[in-house]
Amino acid sequence: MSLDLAIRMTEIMLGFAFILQSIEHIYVGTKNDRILFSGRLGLSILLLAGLYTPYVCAGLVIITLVQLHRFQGPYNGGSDRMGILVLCALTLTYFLPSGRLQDMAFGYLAMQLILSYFISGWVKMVNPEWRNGQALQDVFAFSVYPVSDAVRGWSQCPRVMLIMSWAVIIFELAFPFLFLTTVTLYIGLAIAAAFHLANACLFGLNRFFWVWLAAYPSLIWLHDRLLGGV
Amino acid sequence: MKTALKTLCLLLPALVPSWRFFDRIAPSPRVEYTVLDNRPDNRPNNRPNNRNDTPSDWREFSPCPVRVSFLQMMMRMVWNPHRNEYLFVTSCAERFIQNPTDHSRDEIMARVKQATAKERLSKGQEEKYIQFRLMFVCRDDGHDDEGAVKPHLAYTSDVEPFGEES
Repeated sequence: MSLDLAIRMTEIMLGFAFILQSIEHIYVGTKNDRILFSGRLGLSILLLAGLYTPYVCAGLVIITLVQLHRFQGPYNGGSDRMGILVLCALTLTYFLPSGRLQDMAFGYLAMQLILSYFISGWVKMVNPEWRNGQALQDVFAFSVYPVSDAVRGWSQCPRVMLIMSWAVIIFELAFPFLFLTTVTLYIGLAIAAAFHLANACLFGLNRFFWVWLAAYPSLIWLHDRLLGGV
Repeated sequence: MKTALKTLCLLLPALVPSWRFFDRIAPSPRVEYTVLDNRPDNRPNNRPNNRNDTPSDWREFSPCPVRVSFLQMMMRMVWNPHRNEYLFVTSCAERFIQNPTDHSRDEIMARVKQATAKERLSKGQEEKYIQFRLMFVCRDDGHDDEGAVKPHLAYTSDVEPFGEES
């Protein structure tokens, strides 16, 4: 995948993710939120359409900074942080002078995507409560995430929790190795997307799904750039 | 200068993320609220209060439903405003306990008021005051009933009139 195509795909996916987020903020937010996110919605539509993208990205970065002050941090934790990371990488590719620096900015995004899975897997691997299934059982039993009492009830199945824990740990730790060939990379990204879909369905983390997907083109581009044809 | 530094502090965790999702399962916040006809005489406003001596009719803010259908789950992939707002409110609760700020408390109060206002309007209720409290649910490591999941009271807000914008 060429850098131009990867950038264009990122713009489309990030624009779509930001449109969904902005409409939600306009719906539940205060009067000032509505003004701020109406601006963000307009710019996100332009990003999706591929119009004036350097200026649109710069505008979105400014709105993001205002948004960080407004909520004193991210509104939805990790998903907002990944959204900011994707946006900043995209913006840098437009404003950095040389091709090499642009590659580095977009490559940084791809590297962070790999780390997002690997570090998550590592911190679970070194925690005995994750290894014996207790941690995931606790996530289902009393964390804020399960979307319904029925989903919360899954905590009563310790064997299922143990299997799910190890499936997540193994996948997350294996993710960097899946990058090494084209076939395994696409399989890895499909599994990762399914993982985020499951998180969205069971835990209501829909924003993670769209924002993480927006970072995938950077990884496909980096793979082709470094290991093209493998 | 101060604003620039603050901006950098807010932005840096996004540019150099830690990615330590669920590294440990911390006590989990629940926001509960109660609506009152009168401000209790023995509880003047602005008094620090962390005691469980307030009215017994506490209701959970945005409780999760018994069941969510597959169709609803798919719809929520693209439209999930209340759930995402609820996650923001719980993150404000966590932030407030770690580092109490007016911002976190006011965000919780404003969103509880907003949600409750709709409910009161639909039921024709006319209570004048509202109060929220933060409960944290965790697995009990004590000797009695070890391993049971129990809520612990962490904070009770001041009583506020509904009409007052936070």
